[in-house]
Amino acid sequence: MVLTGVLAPVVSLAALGLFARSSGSEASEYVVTGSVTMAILFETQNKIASNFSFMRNTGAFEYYAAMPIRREALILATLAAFSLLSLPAVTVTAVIGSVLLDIPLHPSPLLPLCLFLALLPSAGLGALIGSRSPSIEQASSLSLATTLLMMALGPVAVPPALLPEALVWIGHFNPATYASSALRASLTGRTGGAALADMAILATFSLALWALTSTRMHWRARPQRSTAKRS
Amino acid sequence: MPDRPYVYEVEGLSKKYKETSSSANTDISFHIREGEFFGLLGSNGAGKTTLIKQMLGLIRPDHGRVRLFGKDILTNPRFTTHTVGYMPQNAFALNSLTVREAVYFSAHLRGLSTRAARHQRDECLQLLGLDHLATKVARQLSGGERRLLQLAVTLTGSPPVLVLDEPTNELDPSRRRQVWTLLRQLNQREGRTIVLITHNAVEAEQVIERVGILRDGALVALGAPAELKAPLDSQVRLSFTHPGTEAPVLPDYVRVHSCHRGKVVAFLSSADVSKLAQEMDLTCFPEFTMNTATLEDVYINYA
Repeated sequence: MVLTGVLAPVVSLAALGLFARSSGSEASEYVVTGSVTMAILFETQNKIASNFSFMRNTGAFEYYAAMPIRREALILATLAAFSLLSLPAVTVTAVIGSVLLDIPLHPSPLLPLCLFLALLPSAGLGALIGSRSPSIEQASSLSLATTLLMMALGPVAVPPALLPEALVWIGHFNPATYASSALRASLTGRTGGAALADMAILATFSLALWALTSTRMHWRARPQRSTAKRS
Repeated sequence: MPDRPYVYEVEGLSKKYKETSSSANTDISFHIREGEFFGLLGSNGAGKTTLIKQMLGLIRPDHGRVRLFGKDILTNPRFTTHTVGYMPQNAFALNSLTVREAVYFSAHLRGLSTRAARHQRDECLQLLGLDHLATKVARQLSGGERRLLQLAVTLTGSPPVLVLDEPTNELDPSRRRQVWTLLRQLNQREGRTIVLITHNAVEAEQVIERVGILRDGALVALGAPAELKAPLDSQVRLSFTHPGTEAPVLPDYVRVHSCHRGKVVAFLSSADVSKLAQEMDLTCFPEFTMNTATLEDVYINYA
């Protein structure tokens, strides 16, 4: 579990680290936190997407939908399970990155909250992709493509100064930008107003994706408006 | 029975899937009373599963409505899920859990306390003879064992209504008998209302009180097995094995229904039985049987 989630971020660390060393410590910090964000995306978003798609295709959704539970409870339980499972990959990537790129880690007390908020949008996106994709293969491919795009579009693993302006601008709409930024602040102990703003934006992304997932996910049938009024 | 309240009131139910042009269900209406053992028969693709999914609120009908104990199921999902235990036809959802974990987990989801869930887990496993498989992971079970586990999971929480989609599928004859006996006990001793889909009309006839037969999405017959068999009482079912790919030459008054892999099924009027016996020595055919109409014949007649 740890190995698969660590592999891509560590390869990214090694590759980007080569260039980052010559660009200063700020670039190295971006590479480390970008790689941690990648670990979150791989471990949470991709695995939740596969899991939800698996549940949809094997009829597990039907099993849960026929039980006296709310769909929100199923989503939360899945998010909690996969978020916990992503923690080893996140920790290992952060430690390896710190050692490789010589970035001292000073975790702030806000780190758990920051991690939670960084996990939520990717988990929500994974749930949305998985519950809407017609097959597991499609869900995995779509989630992987989204992960790569989220890593590339914006200052996630590369400082904005080294990116074209267009990518920096697009990055404002990418939750991974804020996750990486908030993680950078809380891993290096520089939590200030900017970090709190990042976390607030992450919370907004989380709420939006939560609302989208919980309404778009296949579950029990809902009454039509006219039926609801009649009853 | 007529005094008992309605459990299900299905009224004018129609459903058409976007992907297919044909209707899965067309204007289906029927009622099921409390404590009734109701069977749904029909060939593959007749719309049985779509119908029960609408009765569970898992699919929204295009037209019509379903009431459970007088409450609209779409506007009362919590009531529906608390009241109905559903055994789906498809693969088991809890394949990565052990048998005991799956039953315990399901009991918990149905709102039982830890202690009550443990108690019910042991009870269900014993009831279905799954105790010796308790620590085995569900995905390692045989198809039949997994089906029994699905039934055990469905029984958790003791819902008063059970909706079972082909519960005896993949079971060997002795396990099938065990399941039919259990269902009869649940219905007669505990008064549970049971709605089930089955292809095994002969076995189901022993327990089912009323049956609905679906064809091309429409309910083409509804009533007690005896009522539905009555029009066929004047008919006799003839079956035998015939070597060769084509049906043997039989007199005109014998209607060959099917001839598959040498197994011939034919019908004739009971008045013509003695005439046929005089004309042909039927006992020369292996596995020759002759009997009056069964629920399966009714099913074949309508399907």
